[in-house]
Amino acid sequence: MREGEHRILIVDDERLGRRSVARQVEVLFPDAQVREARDGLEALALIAEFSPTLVFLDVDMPELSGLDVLRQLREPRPKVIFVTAFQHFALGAFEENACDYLVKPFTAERFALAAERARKELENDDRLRALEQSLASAGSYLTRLALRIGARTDVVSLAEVSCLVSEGHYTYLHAPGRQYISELTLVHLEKRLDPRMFARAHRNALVNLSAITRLSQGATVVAELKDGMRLSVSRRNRRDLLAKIQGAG
Amino acid sequence: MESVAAAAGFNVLKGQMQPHFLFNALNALKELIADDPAAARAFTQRLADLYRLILKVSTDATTSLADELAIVEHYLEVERVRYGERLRFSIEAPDDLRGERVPSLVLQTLAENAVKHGISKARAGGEVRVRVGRRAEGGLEVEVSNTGGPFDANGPRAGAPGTGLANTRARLELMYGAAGQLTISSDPALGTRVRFVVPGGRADAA
Repeated sequence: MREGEHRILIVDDERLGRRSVARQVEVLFPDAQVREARDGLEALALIAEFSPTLVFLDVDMPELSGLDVLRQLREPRPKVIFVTAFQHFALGAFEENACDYLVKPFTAERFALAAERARKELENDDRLRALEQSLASAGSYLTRLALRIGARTDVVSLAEVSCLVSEGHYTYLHAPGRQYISELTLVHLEKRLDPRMFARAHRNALVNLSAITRLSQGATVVAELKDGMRLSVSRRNRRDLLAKIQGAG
Repeated sequence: MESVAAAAGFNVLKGQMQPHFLFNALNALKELIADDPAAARAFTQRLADLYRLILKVSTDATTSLADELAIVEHYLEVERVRYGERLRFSIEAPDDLRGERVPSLVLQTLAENAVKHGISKARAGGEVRVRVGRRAEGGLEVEVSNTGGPFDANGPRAGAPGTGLANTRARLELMYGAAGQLTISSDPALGTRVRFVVPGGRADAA
């Protein structure tokens, strides 16, 4: 994000509260567009109209508190830094996905730290969006995936991947003799993969159709793969999987 | 009587002036120093005057109405620096009542309560009115009211009189018995009015 693209909203029901944030913003984001709101309702209206990238949000305001404002934000949500005189709001603020919180009175150094956090998060969001756009504009399915393993990056051909299994926040890619971990979610990967090549086996697994060597049909259907992996095929994915195998065959 | 006064004095110290008040005042001061140095100096003076008076009156169960009203005025002026035009207030008391004794820091507590419920919770703010008058039957009638936010704007928790008010009620009853009863009337359209009576006009004679 270039400096001039920052749109910053300062929300506080007290004029001096807005001034103290504005003063720091002028120093740290000299080229940003800055607007101010005097309470929660005004903040919601301005967020819709001005679509700020970063909001400094006072917690203790009449009628609609800072937390109320945060709860009513829709995607794409701006980054939010809470500004409060009351320490105990901190927990709730983080649960609601705030970037940081500043306790009044704050030093210029502490403010700069919060601003830096927000700046980093905004840059990361930009990078992710750029990546998604370039993938979408390529208009083709993923054939290879670059995966980091420690300091090294391996390029994995998806034709060699027998299955992708999600576990927690990660997706495990199984290839002959190797296993890779990706930080992309299974749902995200599925959109990028050729549906003629991969099918859902169950809620947490995609299987490479050409890797299936046998489908054993007992009480449950199990797909046996070239590399010895066995995946159960859920009832709801069974028909689709079989149709794809026949289509591919 | 001595121990009652001492107990009341202790409660005054314990219950008065929310720590948040000083915090908020310091936050405002920090900003004023950069924004308007002359206003910052006046504000510091006012804050010092306020605390000096509080210190002076908090050792006794009662104080002069003049001191009590000075405290209320300083307090409201400090809050006005924070709230700006959202806070409007008036203080009305006949000059000849200024020497009368009133329970110390009770008006201040009620004014603080009025700002908390009537001003800080209302976007448009409101007005705090403090009125003291002589009753025909003797003694004083004291009233603190606030427009703006209704007393129970945000459900039963916000609507219930806070500990400050509960302590004040207990203190007045301790000092004046049934005659010192605190009454609260609240109307969503008109705001809230808190009233009490200082019997006989001279509390230390009660």
